Parts: sequence; structure tokens; C-alpha cells
Amino acid sequence: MFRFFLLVALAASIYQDQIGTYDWHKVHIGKVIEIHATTGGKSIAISDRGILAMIKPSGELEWRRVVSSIDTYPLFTMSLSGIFTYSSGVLTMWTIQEGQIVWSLYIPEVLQLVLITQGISEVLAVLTENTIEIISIQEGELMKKIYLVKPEKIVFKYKDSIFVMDKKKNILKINSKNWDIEKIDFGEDNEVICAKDSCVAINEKKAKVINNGEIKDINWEVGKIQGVLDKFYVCEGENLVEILEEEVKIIKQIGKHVPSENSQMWLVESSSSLTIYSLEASSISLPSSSIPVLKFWGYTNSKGEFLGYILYEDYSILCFRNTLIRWIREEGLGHTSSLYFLELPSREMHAHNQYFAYIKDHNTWSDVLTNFFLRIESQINHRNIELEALEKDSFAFKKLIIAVSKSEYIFAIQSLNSQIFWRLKVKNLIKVVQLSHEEAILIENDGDKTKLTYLDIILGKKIKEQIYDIETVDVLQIGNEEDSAVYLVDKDFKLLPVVKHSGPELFFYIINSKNGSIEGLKHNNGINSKVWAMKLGTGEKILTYITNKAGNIHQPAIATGTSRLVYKYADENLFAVASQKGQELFVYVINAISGHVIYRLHQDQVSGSIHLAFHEQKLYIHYWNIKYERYEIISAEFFKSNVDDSASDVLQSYYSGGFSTDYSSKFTPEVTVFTQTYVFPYGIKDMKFTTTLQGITKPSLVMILESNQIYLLDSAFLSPRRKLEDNHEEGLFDDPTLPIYKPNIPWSSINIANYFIELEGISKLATTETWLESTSVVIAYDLDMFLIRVMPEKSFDVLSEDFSKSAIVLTIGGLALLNILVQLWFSSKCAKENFNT
Amino acid sequence: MFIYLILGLAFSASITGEVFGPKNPAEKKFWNPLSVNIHLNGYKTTYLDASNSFVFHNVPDGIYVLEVLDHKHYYKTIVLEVLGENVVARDSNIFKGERIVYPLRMQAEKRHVYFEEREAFSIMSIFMNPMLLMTGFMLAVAFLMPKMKMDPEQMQEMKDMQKQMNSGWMSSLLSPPS
Repeated sequence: MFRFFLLVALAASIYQDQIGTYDWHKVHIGKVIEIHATTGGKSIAISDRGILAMIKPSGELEWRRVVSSIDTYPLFTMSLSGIFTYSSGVLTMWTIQEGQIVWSLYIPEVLQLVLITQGISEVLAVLTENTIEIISIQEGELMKKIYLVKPEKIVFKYKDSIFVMDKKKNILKINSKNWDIEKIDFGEDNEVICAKDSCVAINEKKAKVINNGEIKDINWEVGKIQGVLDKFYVCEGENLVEILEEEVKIIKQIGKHVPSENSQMWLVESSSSLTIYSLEASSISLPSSSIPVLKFWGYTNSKGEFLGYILYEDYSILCFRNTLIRWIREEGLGHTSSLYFLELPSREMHAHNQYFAYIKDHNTWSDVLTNFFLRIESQINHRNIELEALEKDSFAFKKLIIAVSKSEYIFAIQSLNSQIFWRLKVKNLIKVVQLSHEEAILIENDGDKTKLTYLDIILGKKIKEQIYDIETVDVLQIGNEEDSAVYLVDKDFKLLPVVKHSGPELFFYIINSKNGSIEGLKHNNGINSKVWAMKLGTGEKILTYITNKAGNIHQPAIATGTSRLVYKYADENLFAVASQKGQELFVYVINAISGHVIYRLHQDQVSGSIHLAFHEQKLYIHYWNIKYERYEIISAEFFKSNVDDSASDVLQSYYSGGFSTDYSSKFTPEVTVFTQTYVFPYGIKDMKFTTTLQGITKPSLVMILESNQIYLLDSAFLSPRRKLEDNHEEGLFDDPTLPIYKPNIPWSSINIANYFIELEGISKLATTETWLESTSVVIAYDLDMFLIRVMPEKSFDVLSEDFSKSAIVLTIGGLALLNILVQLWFSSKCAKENFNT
Repeated sequence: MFIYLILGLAFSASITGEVFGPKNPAEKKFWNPLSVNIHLNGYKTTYLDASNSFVFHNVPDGIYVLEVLDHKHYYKTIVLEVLGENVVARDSNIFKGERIVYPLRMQAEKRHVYFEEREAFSIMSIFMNPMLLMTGFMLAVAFLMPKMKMDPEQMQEMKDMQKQMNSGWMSSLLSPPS
């Protein structure tokens, strides 16, 4: 039992004063769709990821709420009474200061939320597919339901009336006092454009206008409407146009601009500045960014100061007050779709690379002397490059993280301090491949062509571009740092080498989830040939797959409690495929080279998402068991069937056929498989093993729970070789270091890697090694980003945190003193004895 | 399929409940209901209102797992079976166990312990050092042995042994420097 709890404690624990030492956290809300200023310099924002938040004047979040569920696009409106949101059928009212729910209602198919005034009070008008429902703000109760025929949207409100446009472009004027409806034939076949308090339907040089609640026909000679700015229209020639009693009048020419979403202001971008104009002819300038502006919200306060928010193309949002930037939030990282760890160069390596890059372009006879002196200088005094922040540290904890955002930008983040160093616009990125410590290739799909961009990862600058005439669907990367190869895979599965490998043929496999087939192919000299093919059973649908990322296997054999050697079957050419037919789950473990099915697992009564993790000889499968109404993990371990009982057996095997630790993917040995099922209390979104460079220390299983917590589990608890309590006989493969079998995985808060930090919207994991064998780096990402160093066996190469250096010094000092005193005492005792004898 | 979808939508329930902080009054005053999230199968999230109650609207038929997430306190995970407008709740740790009260009443059970405790400095840790213990034992033997009443012949043997030792390498350690 003690051994049991010791394992629980060792998996992840840190001390409270180490918070923030080994981890960092980036909080995001996603691409802002609406943002409003509130009192005290705070802002209320809502994003397209369904996140509602209050932002402090410093730019940090005061509070954050998920409006029903992540990635459901919400509707939003607010007033001084509160915030109103709609998502997944639920209409909710929230308080502004704390973000607390006041009430919530189920209303299906809501199209729009608008706050209107009824008499002296405010009510909420909810437009659905065939009604407007009037909801009281205080109680959240339905006051009135007005049936309409195919309404499209509430276009504006004016005094006591709401104006609704239907799908036939007619306007319905609804009186908010007595709820009478007046239908106005309006748009017919013409396009209808509405501003804050009017609508216009243009028919060549004439227009029908609803303005100030009245409908009239006027001459329209200002051209087509290109946009709307508050109460005004922007017409051809970027002219700002106002509708008067009997005509339209051009107020001013505003040029190419971004209109404010909520006021009579607009923003003009130039290469050197962003200028914000208001209709009162005042303006301010802000520093320009190289990133285009997507949206802009502007206000002026009672003092005439400009306040507002600018949303950029990379989803970052900036808050300004006059010419002062108050805060910037990098919300592009709130849409991270994939993530890569890149190694950084050491200072010496960078100086070396810089020198050789320089002489590549300066290699004439006249440059010889200059190059010679440069070489000497570089040995004495490393060239002054601002590299320190992006320079590899002693243990390689510092990495460059390339986060790929759905905003079509990639961000380079330093892994120790989470600082963003550069960003780059990249469309349709397929993969990032690191070529050397300072260079990487970005592989992008460009229609039916593929663009390869060679990138300096320190500066974030493009070195060169190459275009290939194929449509890439995937990228294969094989080999190690010294000898790697990159192949582009097109839709017919032809391979085009981009970076060539010195090795022989390449084996790869294709999983076709549409027809449930898997094929293994060999690529040699530009030609693919089929090696094996497999078709799953009728009705089986492929859900997911995973490859065995074994890496370096330091310990291919395990000594058991009965002094025997058993051999892991940890072929890194194995992969596992999970498929489902009705409620039956099938998992196949297949050798990618030979196509041999090493193992086939069947589990009935399964539903929900399936997650796989595969490391060395261990395969774990997480699923929901319908019959027992709980989450379970099936653990499978693969061993070679031959067991060596003694040293003579090992020698005999060696002289007869080679080490038992060797194996070839072409010939599958006899395999013994152990399986066991464990009950795990929670659902998960992803799970991965940590990896280390040498593979010496044991890995930890990292899981993202459905509650957005990150849980670290010692794989010893999931071993299928845990002995049953009443089984006294020692089996051949038993391991006495494993705890006695219990079906429930023990749960301990000490293994929650994010401790009390609230994470939202994390769904994917990425892991990487460091130069310390005890330490791996793990990052969870999607909406938030959380990076942590995981040390499953931290005492392997690091002194423990509570190692008492003072005790050692005191002990050694005390012993030395004792030694001197005892010497003195013995010498005086001997002298006395000699004197007496 | 379409009919089942309509029927599924027609028959859906609301899952309601109330969340309570820790029973201990000293801990309860630090309980913040605003920091409590409630997750349903990990894909729907809601929060507590002013009366510390929560509701998930329009939940279709099926089996769900409900978790109350509070970063300071642990709450039991509940399995809910929704059939039409009926909701049956069970403790997730007990297979087909007894029903629990519905509407749910979730009580905080214990505090989360996220961190290892640092061992405080203790003078005993120095004295329990194995090197110190061995040296202390040797010294004790060196002092106490001569004081024990022994057979004169054995005493003589010990003295002879001591003389032999003194003439060997130990003498360089025990004798004072000249």
C-alpha cells in the first residue's frame, strides 16, 4: 500500500513556492466579434469561440465565461442592466461586474437579440425564425410573443417602433406600446441596405427610403452604396452620404477606410500610421502595424478623447485612448490549430552559421583576406548578435515554439518566457520542418501547387521560396537530425522528395477512412509499389490511429521478480488503428512494413470518442463503457514470447541467432500480449506519453481531462502485469515492483499539472525532450496555452528540492571537528598510559 | 432517422441542481461560487447563479457525466440518465448504485492538495545521519569498553591488541602530530 501511494506522489508533485517556475499559462478568449467599454476603463468582449470576458484596464482578464460550449458562435447584446448572450439554444443574462448568471432560458433558433425601450423600461426583443419574443430583463420571463412570416432581421429601432425586414425585403413596423404591426412594401427585387436608423432600396437613380420612421421616394444620384457608417452611407468614390428630407447629400470624401462598428468614426491605414477620424473633423494617429485591420470600434468621451479597439488580421486586439496604447491581447494564439517545437542554436553555432552564410556570398579572391580576419575575429569575440533570448540554454529547456493559428498567421514563441518573437502570415500551412538549428521549411498548399518557404527561425525572415507543381495532401519526414528526408505526398500518394535521404527504400502506409482500407507501400527511386493491403470488416468505421513513437529504447529487456529476462516487443514500425462498428470497438496493432497484424482487440458496449497512446511496448485505449456507465482504459503490453532464465540462456541465444533484443520488421516473432482494464473516473480529450532523449527514465502519461485539467499518470498503475492480490504464484512476466492490481486508478490532486490554474478550451498536447533525462516539456493548447516541465523521475539527474545542503556541511564539519578532538584525547590518553607503565 | 431526431428533441429534459460549499465554516467563508464551473460530458459548461443553482437546458436522452469543478474543493462526479423528462442520478464511482437525490445537491467533499509539503528543518535529521551514527557508535565503544569489568586475561589480550594497532596504520590517525 505504501509502495502504491509513493508512486502516486512521485508522478508530478511540485512545491507551492515553485508555482510559475516550471510552467506558464497564456489566457485567451479568441477572435473578438464584439467589444464594449464599461466603467473604470474595463471592457466586455465576446469572441467567435463562445467566450465572454471582462478585460481590465491592464489588458488582463477580470473574469471569463464559456457561453454554453466552446466554438458555438454566440449572439450578444448588452446595456447597463446586464449582458445578454445566446448560444446552443440558451438565452442567458449575466451581471457585468462579476459575470454571474442572472437567469437562463431555452429558446430554439434565435436569430438576433435587440434591447428596446418599452415605456420607461428596457426589454429584450428576441427574433426567432417566425416570432419576436419580448423577454423581461429582471425576471427573464416571456412577456409577449409576436408571430411574423419569415422575418430576416431587426434592421433598426426608432422611438417606440421596431423595424423588421422579412425575407421578401418588406419592412414590418412594430409598435412597442401596443404591438401593432404595419407592413410596408419596400425592397421588392432591389437590394436593401440599412444603416443605424434608416433603410434604402435603390432602383437605378431612384431610391425608396425609410428614415425617421417614415417611408419616402427620393432621387439617388450618389451611386451604389459600398458600406455603412453609423447613420450614414458610404457611396461610390468613398463619399459619405446623409439622407435629408427630400434628397441625399454628400458630406465628405473619406477615402479607403475601415468604418467603426458602433459610432460615426472611421480608420484610415497608411504605411506609417493609423489615423482615426470622427465626423466632428477631429482625428488622432496611432503607430501603424504591418498587419491589416479587420475591425474597429471607436468612441469619444465627454472630454473629447478618442477611445476604442482595433482588431487586426492576426486576431490581435488593441485598446487605445487618444494616442496611447492601453493594451494589446494576442488572440491569434486563441485559435492554435497545430504546434511545433524547434531547437535553438547555441551562441557558438549561430556565430559559425553567420560566418559561413557571409562567406557564401563573399567568395571571390578579393574577399579572401577579409574572410580570414573575420574568421579570427569570430573565434575571439562572437559577433554581436542579439541572440541571447533565442540561444539554447545548458539543458535545452529553451525551445522555439511555432504556433499555427487559424488566423493564417504563425507565431514564434520562446518556451521559457512565453514571449512572442515574430509572426508571419502563412496560408494553408501543412507542416513545419526544421532543417537545421536556424532554418525551417514551411510547406503550404497554394491551390494545385505547393509552396516551400525556407525560413530563418531566429529572425522570422524568408530566405527563399520554391514552388512545386503538385497539390500536397501530407508531408512525410523521416530520419534523424544528421540525415533527414522530407517527402511531399500528393492526392494520388506519389512522393516527391524535397530533402533527400541517404538511406535505401522508404516504407509508408495509407489509411483510407472512407472505405475502411489500409495499405502499405514501398517507395524506391521515385516509384511506389504496394507491399500489403488490408480491408476492415463490413460496417467498420476507422476512428483514429497512432504510431509507436518509441524513440530511443534504453531498456529493451526487463528483469522479472523470478530472475528472468523478458523482452519488450517495441518495434517503432508498429501502429495502432481503432475502428468501430455499432457499439463494438476494434483495435488493430499492425507492422507498417510487413502488414502483419500483431494483435487485434475487441471490446463491446463502447461509445463516445476513443483515444490512443502508444509507447515502446505499451498501448492504452480510453473509451466510454455503455454497460457499466463509466470511462475505462484498456492497457495492452507486448512482449516477445521467449524468456531467458539465466545468463547461459542469453549467451546461447546470442550464439545461435543474435541478441534477443534485436528484431526485424520483416519477420514477426511470437508475441505474448497482456491486457487489463482499468476504471478511470473522467473523460479525456487527448493523451500522450512524455519522451526523453535517451529513453532511460520512465515516461509519464499526460492526459487532458474534459474539465480542462491536465493529469499526469504513472504508467505503472496501468500495467497489465500487476499481480492479483490472491494470486500467490509468480508468473513468468510478473514484476514485483508493480503495485497489486486494483481496478480503479487512484486519483490524486497532486498529479494535476495545472494545479489551481483554470484552463479553458485546451484539446491538444505536444511534448518534446530536453537534455536532462529526467525532464520533458509538455504543452497543452487550442484556446489557452499551458506549458509545463514534467519530471516523472526528477531524482535521476537533479538533486531533490528538499536536499539539505546545510545538513551535509554541518555533518562534515562536525565529523572533522570530532576527528581532531578524538585525536587529541587519544594522544593524551596514550601519553598517560605510557607515563604510568 | 428524422423522426427519431424530432422525437429526441421533443423529449429532452433540463438538468438542475444546487452546489454547496464546504461544511466547515472556516473554509466556507473562503468559498467563491463565482469560480465554480459545471461541466456536462465536457462539452457543455454552465455556472452558478446568485442562489448557487445551475441548469442545463434541453438535454436530449442519453447518459451524461456531470462534474463540478472548483479549484479549491473536490466534488463527486455524477452519472445522469436522461429519458424524456426524467433524470436519474447516480454516483459515478458505484456501478448501478443507488440513486442520489435529484435535483442535484452537490456538496464540497475535501480540499484539493496540489503541492508537496516541504519538510521543515529538523535538528534530528542531522543526528540521524548514518555517518554520524556510525562514528558515535565507535566512540561510545572506545570509551565504554575499557570501563567494563572483564576477565584479567581478556583484558591483557585487549591491551596487546591495542598495542599492535598502535604500531600499525591506525596510530597515524589516532596519534597527535609531532
